[in-house]
Amino acid sequence: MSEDKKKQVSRRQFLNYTLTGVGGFMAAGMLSPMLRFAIDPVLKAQGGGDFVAVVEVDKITTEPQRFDFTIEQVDAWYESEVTKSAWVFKQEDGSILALSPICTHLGCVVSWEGSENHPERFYCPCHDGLYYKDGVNVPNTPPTEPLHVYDYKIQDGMLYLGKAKPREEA
Amino acid sequence: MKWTRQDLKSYIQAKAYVDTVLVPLIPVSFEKMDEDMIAIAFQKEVLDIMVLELEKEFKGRILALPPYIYESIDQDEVRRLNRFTEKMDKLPFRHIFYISFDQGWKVKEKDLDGTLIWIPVAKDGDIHAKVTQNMVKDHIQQIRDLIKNYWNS
Ligand code: FES
Repeated sequence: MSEDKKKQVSRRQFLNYTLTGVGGFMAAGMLSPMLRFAIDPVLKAQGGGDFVAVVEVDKITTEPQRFDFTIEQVDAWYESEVTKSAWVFKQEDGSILALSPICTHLGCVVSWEGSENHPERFYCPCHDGLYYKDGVNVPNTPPTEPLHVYDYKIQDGMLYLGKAKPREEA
Repeated sequence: MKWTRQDLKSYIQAKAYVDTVLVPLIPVSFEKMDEDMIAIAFQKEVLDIMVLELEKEFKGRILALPPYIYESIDQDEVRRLNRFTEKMDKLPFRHIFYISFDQGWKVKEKDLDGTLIWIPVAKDGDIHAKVTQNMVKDHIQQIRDLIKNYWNS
């Protein structure tokens, strides 16, 4: 009898602990977005948005060149430094185009003139995907949309890149 | 693609495009001298990075598996690896690459059903040091070219 009672108590205790645990976890979950909300604008102002300095503007030519840069990436478990790349060049009107090298087919890395058989094209070695210089996919190759384009800004002669976004439909 | 929930979902959608598997062969053994254990742990770290980078570069065509763990290389181990490979071969993958720093596999290369990419990785170093990074980058570049050559041949 008394054995049984003991068991029940301990089960209730167990439940109690668990619930407190979950509650605490939930409270933390509610708190952290609030905290982030409070801190975020400050961080952004300091870092100049999510833009990262990549290269001096005078190094950019009309020929696409690959530049690597690192960003801080935060996911649910880790904060890590991730290397990103961009193909950057000056367009005919003088504006800068920074293309993401990630193939829009299945995600391999493309390179400018990556195949001898396809001059003046971005080439994807995985399934022979092709893109024109402006990043638009060549019809009848596997990619179905253009390479993504990085947001950019220029400050004190430096090119800063932000997020790569899908090309807006013209 | 990696052996993750998200990537496997993509893989299942795109099986016809993913014709290559990359299998890292990793020794784990406690029956070694202390320095040797440290060495294989370091080499494993280097190999992890190489696999990660290769997967990134060829995401749409390569499925990078979690490590294939073994203790020592003998005829039994060769058979076990070949049995594992045979199953992948049926799937079908056109290219099955093992990637390893262990000379033991190099010696047994002709008995293996998959293609061995053997990389002589240094036994010691600092994974964060510039020299190591440059060495690793150099290796990656070469393996990348090698894989492309296999694809095009
Ligand atoms: S991933 Fe680039 S063509 Fe398929």
